[in-house]
Amino acid sequence: MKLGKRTSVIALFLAVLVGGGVAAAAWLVSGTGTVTTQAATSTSLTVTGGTSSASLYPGASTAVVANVTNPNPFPVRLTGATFGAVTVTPLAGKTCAAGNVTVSGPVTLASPVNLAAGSSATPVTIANALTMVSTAADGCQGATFTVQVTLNGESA
Amino acid sequence: MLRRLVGATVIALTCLTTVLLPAAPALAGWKTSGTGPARAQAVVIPQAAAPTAVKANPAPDYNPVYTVTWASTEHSGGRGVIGYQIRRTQWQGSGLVITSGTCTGTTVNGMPNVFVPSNPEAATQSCTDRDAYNSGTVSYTVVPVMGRWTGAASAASPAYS
Repeated sequence: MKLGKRTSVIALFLAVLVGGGVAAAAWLVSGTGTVTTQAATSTSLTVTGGTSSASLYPGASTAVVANVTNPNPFPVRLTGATFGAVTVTPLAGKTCAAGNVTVSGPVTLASPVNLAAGSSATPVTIANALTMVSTAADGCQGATFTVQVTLNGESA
Repeated sequence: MLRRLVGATVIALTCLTTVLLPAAPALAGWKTSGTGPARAQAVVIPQAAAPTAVKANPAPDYNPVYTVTWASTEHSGGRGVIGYQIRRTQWQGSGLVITSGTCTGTTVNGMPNVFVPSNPEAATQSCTDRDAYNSGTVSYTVVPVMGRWTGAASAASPAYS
């Protein structure tokens, strides 16, 4: 009888291990499949140019502002950004080349930004994205600098 | 029988826990991204305020000494500019570079004769002009400088003699 109990316990333990393993394996497979499915059905964030207060001058670094829309049915936490090309819109009658600013490397957001599921355009500020060279041309006064930014996030 | 039932329940819960717990971080790991424009704007250097001047009396040297004072210029970002170019108007002409006294300044980022105040955020700035002529009247203008950027020259100060 004792042997029977022990056998039962061992059998159950093995069943748990095997079952758990099978379950874990099944989950791992289905988990991978689920992630793939979610990735396939998720939609990219929509990023448009935001409104920034004037803060850039020779020798200074400044933040850039983008408006970000999350069309996904799940909340997203923005964690980092990378930057691309810069274009400049100088004031009327002025000339300012894009080379008057340098672009930061990839940044991790000091304070991740949470976007609610299906949120409308939300201003997102990315600090220290642009730096103006100390010898920037006089024509850059009042200019608007637009940089392509890729914002990376994950479900919150 | 009851013990077996309890044991089976424990086992079932253990299996469920094993399966469900790792699911949470998996859900938190969905990645997404978006690309588009982001913007920043440069400041503008405004026109400087018109200065005033005081002539030292008696003159400490052969030439008169004028102390020129003006309200600090803030750019549109709310900070004081880093320097000023001070120019004199006298019988020889207008926009004359001052060559003696602290108003002479130094070359900064390729900009000549920039007077750099010790405290750009102070309410007022002042410097001295030590090479004005004794004859005729003098007046001054101030140009705010930020790197190679300049604002419009101030209106002329009153004329002094």
